Amino acid sequence: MLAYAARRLAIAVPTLFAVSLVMYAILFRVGDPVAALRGTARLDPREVQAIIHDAGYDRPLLVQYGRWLRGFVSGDWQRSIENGQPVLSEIGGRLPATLELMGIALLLMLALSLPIGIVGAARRGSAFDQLTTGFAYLGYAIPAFLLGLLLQIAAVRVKETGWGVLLVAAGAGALLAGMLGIRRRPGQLTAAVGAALVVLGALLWSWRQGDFLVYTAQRFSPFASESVWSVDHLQHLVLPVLTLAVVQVATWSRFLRASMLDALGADYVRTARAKGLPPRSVIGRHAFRNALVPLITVVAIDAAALFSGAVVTEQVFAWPGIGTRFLHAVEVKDIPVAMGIVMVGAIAVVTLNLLADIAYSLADPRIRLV
Amino acid sequence: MSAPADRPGAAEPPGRTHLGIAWRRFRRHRLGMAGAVLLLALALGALIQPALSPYSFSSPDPAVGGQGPGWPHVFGTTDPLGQDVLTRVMYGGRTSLAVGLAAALAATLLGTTLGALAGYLGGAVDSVISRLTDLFLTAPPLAVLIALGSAVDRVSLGLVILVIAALSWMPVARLVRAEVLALRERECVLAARAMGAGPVRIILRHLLPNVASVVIVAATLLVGLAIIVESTLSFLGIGLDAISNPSWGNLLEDARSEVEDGWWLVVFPGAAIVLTVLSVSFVGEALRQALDPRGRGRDRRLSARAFGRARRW
Repeated sequence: MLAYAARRLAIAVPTLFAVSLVMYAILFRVGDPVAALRGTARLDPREVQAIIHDAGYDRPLLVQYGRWLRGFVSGDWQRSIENGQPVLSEIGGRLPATLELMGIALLLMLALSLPIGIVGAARRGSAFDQLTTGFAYLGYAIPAFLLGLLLQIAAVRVKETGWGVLLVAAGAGALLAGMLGIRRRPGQLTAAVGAALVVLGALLWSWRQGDFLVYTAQRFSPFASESVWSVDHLQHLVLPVLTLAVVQVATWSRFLRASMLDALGADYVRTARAKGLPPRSVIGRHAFRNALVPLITVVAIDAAALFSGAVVTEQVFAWPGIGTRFLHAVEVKDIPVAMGIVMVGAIAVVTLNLLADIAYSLADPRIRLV
Repeated sequence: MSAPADRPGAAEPPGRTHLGIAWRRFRRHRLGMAGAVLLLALALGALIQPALSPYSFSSPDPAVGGQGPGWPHVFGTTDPLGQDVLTRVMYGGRTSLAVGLAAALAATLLGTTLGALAGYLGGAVDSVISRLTDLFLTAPPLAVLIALGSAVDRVSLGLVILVIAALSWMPVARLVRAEVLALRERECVLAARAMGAGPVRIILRHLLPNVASVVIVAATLLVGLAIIVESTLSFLGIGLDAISNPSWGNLLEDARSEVEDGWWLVVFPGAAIVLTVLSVSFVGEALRQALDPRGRGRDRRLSARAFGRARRW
């Protein structure tokens, strides 16, 4: 096991080097790391030349890269060209907002896609299956930024007309109705979530007098307490979390449904059924356990890719995370900050891929660790 | 979704060509046909837009600025300038569809070539190509695109196509490699090799025709993906510039500031994107069922397997 992890690590680290070299070449060589300085009137070209020379930007690519790499490994990620802050502390200041968004979205994705995938496979061809299949196609076809914009429009309309809570309740009721024919536990769980949503909608309705507010931008309202536990903050979270979640729910639930169907068609499931085990046990214990194994990989890889999704979502909702910071850095040609954020993303991808491989081999004893 | 064409080959009249059979099956897939018709309509609208609409892409008419959908401006007009949104959507389709098709084509060619080489030649070639595939899968695609977009002065159509293709060929390569690995031990390939056929001939004449159905389906999925990527880039303001090559993403970028009181500026270009990607995936679904010679099975869940990971935006 340890040897296997070490071998995977031995592949992961060079990959990271390769990615960083390519990104360095794009950002520092194709791009102009001192572009931000060239525009300022106070600096005359000779001073700019001096800065270029000091930073080593006139040296060969590999020498430059080596210099950057030494700093990177020792924790000196250079300073922002825009405001002179160390890149690491710039990123550190923005990371909590992004991690919060991704973490909550991740929980929502799992909470939705697991029951949808399981029930869809268990009741293949049912109304519920067809409905969720339709939504999955739609969720797959819609770019994240467009979904964000549409949600913003909907939120504004809802606030103006005040029928938002009814909408929530109606949607949840429809979900409930779709689940009614299902007697298995995932179905019951989803139905319970639907019922809870209806109750929540009704409570919000009476509390807010129909003025159900979700904010369409920022993380906190101006002048509000910047506490992550405040209602104000929750109202800011709703739309970006939904935006991030929908696409992944579409792909994950389809993936789980597909591997559930594989498992349900397998011999051991037929044996379990023939033994007279209750359907709940066959689906939950025999089929689901096995269908979960390939999903682990997909979830880990996509969770890392959420880093990219966060860029778009944060931009749409003006969320002060590293995604907006990255776009801003690129816009003002603050190359060290952009490079730092790219590396954070690449490290996340490589780490989660590694964890996925290890988790995969742990979850499925048939996989030989070579 | 799968009901009507789930049992292709059930009662196929004998004596038809492979393509004829595929076409019959394709026609039986109602959503696939609907998608194909819709795609043709969108492409036609984009191509002959001047013949269909009395307005041009950017001709302003401030007198009618900020109108909602109605007559004569069916999709409404932009806010202060009063440009016709329907015209803009049709025009934007040119760039979006062109980028989608060209990028998917390029990515498919690249992925197929690399996948076939890796699968057939094996050994060192295989491990180099496989490492390369892993590397490209690790690179944060959006970050690369954004960084490139900012690093070059002006983003041209060719560059966008090339870069999107360079970042989306990997699933195709993996798929083709796996298929070729399975195929290369077949008797037909052995026979060809015994008769002295070289690797190029074997790959082109014996292997690729056998993986064609998989590749075609993968290519359709890539079209949708490329359209989404391009619109995202344009929306973020780092894709094609809105003046020389306006795409649906550019229209949405313009609409962003008017989300509160101009919903039609978002909904119509947005619907164009969603409908196109939906149609493309329905066509892909229909093609998959029509081209799979063994009916159901083998690559039934191609889309979920290979492309669950590819969607990152």
